[in-house]
Amino acid sequence: MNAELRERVLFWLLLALWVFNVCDFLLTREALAAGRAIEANGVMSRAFHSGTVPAFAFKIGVVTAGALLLWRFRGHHAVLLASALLASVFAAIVTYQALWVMDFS
Amino acid sequence: MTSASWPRRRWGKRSSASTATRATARQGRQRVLALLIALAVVGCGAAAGAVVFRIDHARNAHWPTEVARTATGWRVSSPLRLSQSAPALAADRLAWFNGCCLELLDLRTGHVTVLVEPSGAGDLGEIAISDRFVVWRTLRQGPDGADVNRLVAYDTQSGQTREIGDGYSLLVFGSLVHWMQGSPSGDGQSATALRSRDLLNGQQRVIARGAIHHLADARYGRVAWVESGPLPGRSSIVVADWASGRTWRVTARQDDKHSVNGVRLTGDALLWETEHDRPNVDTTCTLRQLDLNTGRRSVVVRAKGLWGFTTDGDVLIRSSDDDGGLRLLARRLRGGPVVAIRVPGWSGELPVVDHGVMAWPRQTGGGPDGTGPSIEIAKVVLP
Repeated sequence: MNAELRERVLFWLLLALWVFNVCDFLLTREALAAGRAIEANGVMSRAFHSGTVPAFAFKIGVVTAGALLLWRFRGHHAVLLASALLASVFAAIVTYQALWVMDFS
Repeated sequence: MTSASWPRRRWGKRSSASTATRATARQGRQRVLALLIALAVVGCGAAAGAVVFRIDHARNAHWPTEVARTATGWRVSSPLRLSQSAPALAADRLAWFNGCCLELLDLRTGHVTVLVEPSGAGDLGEIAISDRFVVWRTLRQGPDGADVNRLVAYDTQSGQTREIGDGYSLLVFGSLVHWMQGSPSGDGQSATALRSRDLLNGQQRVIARGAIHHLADARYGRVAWVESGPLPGRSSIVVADWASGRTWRVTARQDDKHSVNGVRLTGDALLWETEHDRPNVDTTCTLRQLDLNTGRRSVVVRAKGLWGFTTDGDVLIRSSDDDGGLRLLARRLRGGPVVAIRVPGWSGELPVVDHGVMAWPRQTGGGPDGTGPSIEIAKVVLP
């Protein structure tokens, strides 16, 4: 894979990661509001206790900063691998959550 | 020169244009290829998520139940801290709501069977259980689009589930299930019917019609219900025998008020609780008994500060408030020493008791370990 193709793939993966992160937030909020789930992540649990807007800002902020950092070091091969792993894991989580929310709503 | 160089210049332009076109095409191909690779990565992740969901769904990991042995019995709870409510106990089996799931626990093995997974919030109602059947109410959409209370029975022997009719206020003992059914009468008023059905042979009949307040208890082929009286609290308790069709009626005395929740049948007796309706005097509750064979009435126990009772025909449990919890006083129905049992984190529901085992829901954070809601199951040990 040449450098140009690698860069393009990385761009799409980071974009997917960002979109999945937003979906993850919305689906988690839906499940919490329905009383069908608890937030297992202690940091996010505290963020949700502070309110929806702070939780959203925190979650989106962290992932946006991470994605920008990965983009900054896009010349490294490991960045593409890490991004592929992150995007696929987020895709799995969001698919699982979406099916679960559809199951009870 | 010009003619010689022109074609070369022309060739150069063509070559440059062609290179640019090729570069554009290559870029386009790379864009598409990059998108396809990214989609493939994401698609693999999504497929893995869907597969894990299907596996979890098949083994009910979405609504997990924690079953733990305690010093006196069992405790069932949810790691998701879902509400645990409406326990029904019979023949070493406990049926209850784990959140919106209806589950069945085998008290001999600790094995949990999920009878109903949630298909929507609040779609499940009462639970009744006998030594063979579990019966519950569920909300279904009727042919006209309106919600209908459908009654469903699960046979623990065959594992089969079937609908048995429309209604509410469910009771079951053995294979005999009883329920109430509202039906419009000719004058536009709602009339209520008490229906009974033998789940083994399908035989069904209407036991009573009229101002039925609620069904109270059913045991050994008999069903007891409360009929609304002309004055508040002046209700009547009626018992009917399925096989013979014989009925018994108990009406409140002038100075007594029936506690409509306190009616139980044992093998041969009807027990009910009355409150003496006297102002400025501590309420005294009296537990009375009618022998259905002889017609003889008697007082089982009379006490102040106690309210509500439950019995399985052998163990009698009465309840009183106890500083944020509930204090239960247990003894044999026929008499004997009283054992006090403190119930911390009481949820407001009286315990259910069967064959000397009682079960009660515990509210959120009520336990010493600060865990979520649970159903506590304990053997009542009496001397």
